[in-house]
Amino acid sequence: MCLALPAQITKLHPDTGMATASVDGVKVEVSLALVDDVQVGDYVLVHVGYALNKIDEDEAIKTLALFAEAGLMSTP
Amino acid sequence: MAAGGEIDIRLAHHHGRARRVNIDLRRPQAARVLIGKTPEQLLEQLPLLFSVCGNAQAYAALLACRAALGLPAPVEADRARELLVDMEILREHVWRMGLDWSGFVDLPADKTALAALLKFDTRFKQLLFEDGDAFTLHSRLRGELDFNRLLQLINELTGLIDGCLFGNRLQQFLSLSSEAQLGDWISQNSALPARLLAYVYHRDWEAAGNNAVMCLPAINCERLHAEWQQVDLGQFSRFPHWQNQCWEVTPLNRQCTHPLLAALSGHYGNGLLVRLTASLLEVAGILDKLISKTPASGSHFGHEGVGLAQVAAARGLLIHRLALRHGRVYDYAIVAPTEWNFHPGGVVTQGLQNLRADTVEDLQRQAALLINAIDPCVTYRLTLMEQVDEVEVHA
Repeated sequence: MCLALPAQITKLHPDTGMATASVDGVKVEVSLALVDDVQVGDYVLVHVGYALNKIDEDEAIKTLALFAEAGLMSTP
Repeated sequence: MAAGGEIDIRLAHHHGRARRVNIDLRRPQAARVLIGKTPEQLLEQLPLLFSVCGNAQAYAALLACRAALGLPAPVEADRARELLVDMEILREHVWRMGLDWSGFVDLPADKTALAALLKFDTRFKQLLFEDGDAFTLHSRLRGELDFNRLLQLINELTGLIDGCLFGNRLQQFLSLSSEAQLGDWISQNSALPARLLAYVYHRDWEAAGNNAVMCLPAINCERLHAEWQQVDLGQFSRFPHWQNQCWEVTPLNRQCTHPLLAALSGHYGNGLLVRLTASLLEVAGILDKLISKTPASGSHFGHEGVGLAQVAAARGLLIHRLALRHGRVYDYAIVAPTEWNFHPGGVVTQGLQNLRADTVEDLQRQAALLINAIDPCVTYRLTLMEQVDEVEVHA
């Protein structure tokens, strides 16, 4: 089964519908085609290059902590 | 290793004819982090970890916890949960078909429809459960369920998928039972699946990837529990097998008795056309039965603090087994479809090994289609290597 890490949006590219996001300290390009109203600083769940849904900061922090506890992130 | 793990596939071929396949599957055993938690903590945290197919994962965990604790099954709430799992199967199939299949036939994806589709999960949960909280030991169905609203939501979802996937010909698709009828359905509409199936026929790739790996038969939880008492489940969940064989665990398992699929597999085995059609039949079949859904997709067994549950997830059968000691998780194993299917001797390996194409580009395309048809969710790296014939040199 697949895992989806929370990614924090760091830059929007409105012309292309893409955004730059930070996942575990790594910059990735993410499509925002399937989610609405995403702003810089928001957390989204990313799977196969698409942001699937926004999640609130508390949930993102809890999720990242759990991934770190599981040893699935390079930056605890 | 990336958080979700890595799958390296190396396909050796000779002028486009596959010869040997090696799969290196390195996926984290994320469930180990749940050891030491209470059942309540487990059920709160597991959906954070497994947000893709989250409903199936959470339902399997809930069933396993309840079984281990010896708690009764609330029939109505479980019926609602199974509706959520079915909803998720639909969502996972349709959004990947919408994106991936359109890519295979060079059509633009209907991203507006797919974005709307992704919102249904929250809408159903809010309608069915207090606070939208569906998969904990304390989740409660809404006291006064608005059945009219539920019906409206189901109709809205059905309309959306019928429009964006079936070109409003879902009812015709549901009536198909022979290859000739499927051919008519393909030729009479321009919906995305019809375009992809037409492409497969046009390329003569109907049987591409046909292989001898069979679908895992239904095994009841009690028998699994008995068999697994002697097994290192950590190792087993990495390389699952049954009766010393590799098995396929995909939607094909659930659709293989459908008359249309039986007819197609008579001609093409478990090749590409059969797999693609199985996924479509699953979507159509779930939509057709959403309203009259009877609980069936989950099963469970509990004995002396051990709980085992099986749930039908989008990519295949999902099995959770946990052991509780002194109120905390002592052992937790998840046996997921990916490990069955990408097993070194499994259906992906065997299917790829049987690919025959005229060019390397076609082989690459066949391989991408086949892997996508078996499991579109996995991130993998495919390397094709031209294999030069070995020449025997005699002194």
